[in-house]
Amino acid sequence: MALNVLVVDDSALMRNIVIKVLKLSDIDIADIFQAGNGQEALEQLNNNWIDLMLLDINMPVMSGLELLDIVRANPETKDLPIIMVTSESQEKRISTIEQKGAGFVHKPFTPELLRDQILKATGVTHE
Amino acid sequence: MNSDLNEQIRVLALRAFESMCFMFEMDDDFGDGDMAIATDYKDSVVIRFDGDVNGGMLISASPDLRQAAAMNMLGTDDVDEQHKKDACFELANIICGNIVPLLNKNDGVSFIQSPRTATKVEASGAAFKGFHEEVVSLSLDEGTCEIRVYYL
Repeated sequence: MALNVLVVDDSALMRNIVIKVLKLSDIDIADIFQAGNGQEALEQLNNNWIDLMLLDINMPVMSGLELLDIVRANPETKDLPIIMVTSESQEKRISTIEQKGAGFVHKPFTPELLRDQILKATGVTHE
Repeated sequence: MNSDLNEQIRVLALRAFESMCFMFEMDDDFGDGDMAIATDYKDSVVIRFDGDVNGGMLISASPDLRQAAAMNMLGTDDVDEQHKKDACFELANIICGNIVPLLNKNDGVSFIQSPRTATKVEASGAAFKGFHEEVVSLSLDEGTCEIRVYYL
């Protein structure tokens, strides 16, 4: 199944890198959408079918954790696979993310690591 | 200086440069960069952190490294000053995010602020008087970089 992926990061440069790594990860991608903060991501979620969201934590306007709470509270998006892509590596902060039902990829990351986390989050079997 | 911590910072920083910018450590004699770090404090990036551990991390990169980092991260030769700044901010963010857990005491949590251009007082180190200091100098194939970590 080809995935529609939403990449959310306030840094256009970082979105570019995530997309580049995503394309190298050997995951079957249909379309890639982008948002620069949580508010823009909500608009993208309203306007497009999204199968997976790759989400930064620290962003202006609406942080990744605030967006995660909103998405989980909405019956239409509560099961959306989400992977937090962040440089955060403190265990307590990571466990907070995991308790909210999101996966986690730590920067810097490799295409292989991203692929593993996507397969885990989406349940897609990779052949 | 704490030599174990210093080495850990070096390894983490090199990993970030390798993964994000495809830059690798070189012996000084073989690097093609100009081997001079930023002389203008406005080219230094600072990230402050507070909580279990308080302090800040400064990164000063040579002009050629800033240029190459932006080009490699964006995948284009057409980069401007904002791109260079964004590249340094993102590298600083990643490196600091990896370093702070090493500094935390008793498995506590520290909050890492967003990267920004350093003030003159921060870039000189004067803003961190009395803090522990670790200095790591990297010589990469595209330029040089100095990382200073201050913590209490």
